[in-house]
Amino acid sequence: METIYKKLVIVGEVGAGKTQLIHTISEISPFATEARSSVDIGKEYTTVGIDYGRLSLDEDVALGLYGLPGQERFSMLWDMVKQGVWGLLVLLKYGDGINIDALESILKHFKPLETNTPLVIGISHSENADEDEFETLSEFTDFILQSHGLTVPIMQVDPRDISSSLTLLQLFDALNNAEQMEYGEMSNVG
Amino acid sequence: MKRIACLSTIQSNNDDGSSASHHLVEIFNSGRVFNKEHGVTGVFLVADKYLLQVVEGEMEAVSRLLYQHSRDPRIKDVSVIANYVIEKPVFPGWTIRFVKNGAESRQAFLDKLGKLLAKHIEFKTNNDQQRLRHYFDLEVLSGKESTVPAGGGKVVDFQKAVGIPDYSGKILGLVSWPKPNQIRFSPELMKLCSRLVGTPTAYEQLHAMEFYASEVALQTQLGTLERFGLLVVNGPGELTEKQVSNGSQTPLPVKRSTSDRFSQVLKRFIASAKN
Repeated sequence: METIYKKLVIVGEVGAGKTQLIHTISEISPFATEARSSVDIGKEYTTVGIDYGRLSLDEDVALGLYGLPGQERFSMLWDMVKQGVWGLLVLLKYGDGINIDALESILKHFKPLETNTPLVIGISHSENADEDEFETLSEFTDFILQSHGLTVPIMQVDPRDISSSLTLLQLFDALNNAEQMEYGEMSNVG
Repeated sequence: MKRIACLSTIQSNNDDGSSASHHLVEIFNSGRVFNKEHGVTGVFLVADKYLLQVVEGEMEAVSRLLYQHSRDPRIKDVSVIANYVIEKPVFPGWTIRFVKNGAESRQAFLDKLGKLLAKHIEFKTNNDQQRLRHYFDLEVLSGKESTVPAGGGKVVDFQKAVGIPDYSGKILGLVSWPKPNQIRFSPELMKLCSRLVGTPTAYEQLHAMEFYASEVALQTQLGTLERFGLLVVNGPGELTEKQVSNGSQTPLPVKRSTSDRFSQVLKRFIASAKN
């Protein structure tokens, strides 16, 4: 039986919650890719390289989860996974302000519009967010996306919470199905 | 307590090479901390390269804020167009809004803001009038035109209307996704929004997709999206021929068995995990 394997790529800054999110929804522990931080980033250990997790949905159906650092200097890692992506999640950590450069680098590299890759912006660490501050972050993020011709969902994500993670997967499923439906209608015309 | 409305323009020549987005973040942030510390509330409206700030607070605080703003090298042509005493603020905090030309997503908010300021606006220059046109219909603002065009307008106040909105015969689209704090992302809403953001869709076609358990539920959700200014509603004559021919077809999903199977298996997994 042919194996069906899809890739969900999660890109984000240090501490955004990539490792935790993959751990939450993956049935196997992420590979030991953590090393002690050499600079003060707010935690003792940080991921070096790519987080990887795998979600086996059936005997022959699986979802690969790839967590990538959001800094442009790691773009060679982005190149390793950017083909055939089922979904791209950009994880922003609330409270870190708006890193326009990082977001724009990611959008320029993955080109979600040109490649028709479903894109979701997830905002983590926002459970106790100030309402005005959160709204500002959402507005600015939406502004930057629209300047790239993108209209994408922005949602709160709790990487520790399985329900939040499953909602994320549901959203990517809906986005992929909508894209397929649109493609089907285009194929049916002429 | 004062309410002051101030127009300005973002400088187009950026010596440090940074983008307009960067400047916008910096300009907004320069007032944000000050406003929080001094109890200044209001809204920071962005339309292209024009800024309209409406601030409320104690006279000394708002004066200092606007003085700092006028000295910001990233902006020019700062002009106060309204300055009057108020008893209490109407804005709960300090927020930013982006006004996109031609989009109705902010129209309800702008209508309310226009009514708030209308009687107090004084233009210093023609440039003020030109810039304000990016936000308001000046004829309506001056009271020369009714806010509701003859024969009825597009905007419907659903809070006053009786019954469920009817979208029969209409072509629907979505200008943007709901914000996280607007509507909860249910599975049905995800499918609906994914569909409507992608392509304008005839209501009947949307209903046939059976995203919702009932037609009433679908219409109610569409009504909510319209109230938030996210839904675009057009008559069939307003579309191109191609869009009409697409809209009249019953959707036939492409026979891509691996993707369909993946989706089915994922749905089963999620349902099982949630239980």
